[in-house]
Amino acid sequence: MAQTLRHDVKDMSLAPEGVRRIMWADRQMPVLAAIRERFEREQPLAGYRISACLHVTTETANLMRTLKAGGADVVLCASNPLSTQDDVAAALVSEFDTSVFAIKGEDNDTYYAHIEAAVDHKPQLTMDDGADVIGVLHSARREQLGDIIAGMEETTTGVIRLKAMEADGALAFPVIAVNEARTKHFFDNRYGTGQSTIDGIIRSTNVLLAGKRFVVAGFGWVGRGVALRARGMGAHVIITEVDALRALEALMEGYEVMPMSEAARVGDIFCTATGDKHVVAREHFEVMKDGAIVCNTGHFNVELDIPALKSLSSGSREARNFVEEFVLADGRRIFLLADGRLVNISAAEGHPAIVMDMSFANQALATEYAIQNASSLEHKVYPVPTEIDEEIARLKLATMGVEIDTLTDEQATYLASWSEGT
Amino acid sequence: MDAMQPLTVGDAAAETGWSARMLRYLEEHELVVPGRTGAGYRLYGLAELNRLRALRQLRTRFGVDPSDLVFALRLRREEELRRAVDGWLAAADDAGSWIDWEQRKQERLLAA
Repeated sequence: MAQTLRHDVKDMSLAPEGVRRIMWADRQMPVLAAIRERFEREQPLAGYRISACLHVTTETANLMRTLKAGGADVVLCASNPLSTQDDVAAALVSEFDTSVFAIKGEDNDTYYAHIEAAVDHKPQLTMDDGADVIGVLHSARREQLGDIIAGMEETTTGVIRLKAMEADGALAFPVIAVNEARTKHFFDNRYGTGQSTIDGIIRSTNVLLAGKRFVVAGFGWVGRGVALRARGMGAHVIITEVDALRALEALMEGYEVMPMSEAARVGDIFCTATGDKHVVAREHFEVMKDGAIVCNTGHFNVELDIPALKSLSSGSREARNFVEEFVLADGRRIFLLADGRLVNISAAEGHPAIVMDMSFANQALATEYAIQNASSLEHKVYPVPTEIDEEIARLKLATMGVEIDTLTDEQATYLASWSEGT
Repeated sequence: MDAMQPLTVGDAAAETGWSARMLRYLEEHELVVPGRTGAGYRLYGLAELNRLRALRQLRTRFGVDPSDLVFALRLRREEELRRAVDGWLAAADDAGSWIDWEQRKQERLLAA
């Protein structure tokens, strides 16, 4: 093509390396590849302008390729200036016909200028990982709000913010909360974080889990995943919860359930997965056993009251990579992993591409859904429709070569009469 | 001492405190290139002698060895090498820094 795409990336000569890595990730993303194949045939996004603000990584690149295959005109900017992979940005521009505005380490002004550049694309659909594009549209670019068919939001925090806007009557177009799809939770939170959290703990400490008392704070999707894997490694798992239903479920699953004040006295390893703050607090550090290992895989390092741990300690030293040893006044030692940051990303490798495959399959199909249902969607935050979840589960099973049964006509009729009869 | 007279490699070495071997190394890597007599002997003029003395200063003040300078020169000349080194250095604190940034972003979102 004669026309050069608008872009601002670090160095176009990095493109070949980017292509190589994007194609490697693509091998781990068979569901997205299947969707891309269908999009190529059916062109469900033909002519639509999409502005996406996501981590500029190999996995995101494969989502962009899928949107392009469906006929969309796509611009991508970064949702975090420090996670951008410059080779991927270059490859998207030179090989995959996608406008990219993202440079690793860009300053705040450039970061926001790049989001503006994405909005200059006059999008009809948006994709966010933290409500950046939606935020600009609702403030500096209100005149463009009328163009928007729908937005997709990837993060829990973004969805909380958007639901607050909806409640205030401030949300000016429909938004699909991609992170709430079951096929995302299963893989991203339960199996993805479940595995990588255990991986992070073992890599950083080389501890043997078998026989240890392993305390998981929170029995949500992440907590379930961590608990399941820890038990599989032979640990004795203790769950702490604030929700009665979840606590009951944990108990019936065979875990021990108790308040943190009790768990703190007996635990060998502590892992928070709640999304709240100061779940492990001063009074808990005060009663922990000598040698307790504490980490977080939930929201952010605020789940642990690290300032309290520091104030209780006479000093600290790096015991190993990612392991900080705190010595308390009475000589007990507490080991904090990865500064309390997400242990699965800091001390291990986070999500493999195969996990992002499910998340981004939701993004791609939610985009198609938004276009098809534009007339019936109101200015609300919607969950991903069940049909999409089912479609992704079907595709995933197919890529794994797993077949399942289907209802016979007789069975279907019987089930229908059942539900009608009640 | 008559500093204006160009010195042979041996005299230049004695004068600046480097070995003759080091002077040849520096020439080979184009850091300090002496002139030559008609017969091909190296001749170090005032400029070269000053460069050699300044190099000693770098070593005293910063612990920079001539081989470090050779590498610094490569970094300037070889773009691919510079990118690879930058990338390697940047990778070290990657995970921590982007997570911290993400945390601040989400805290702002929740506070809005």
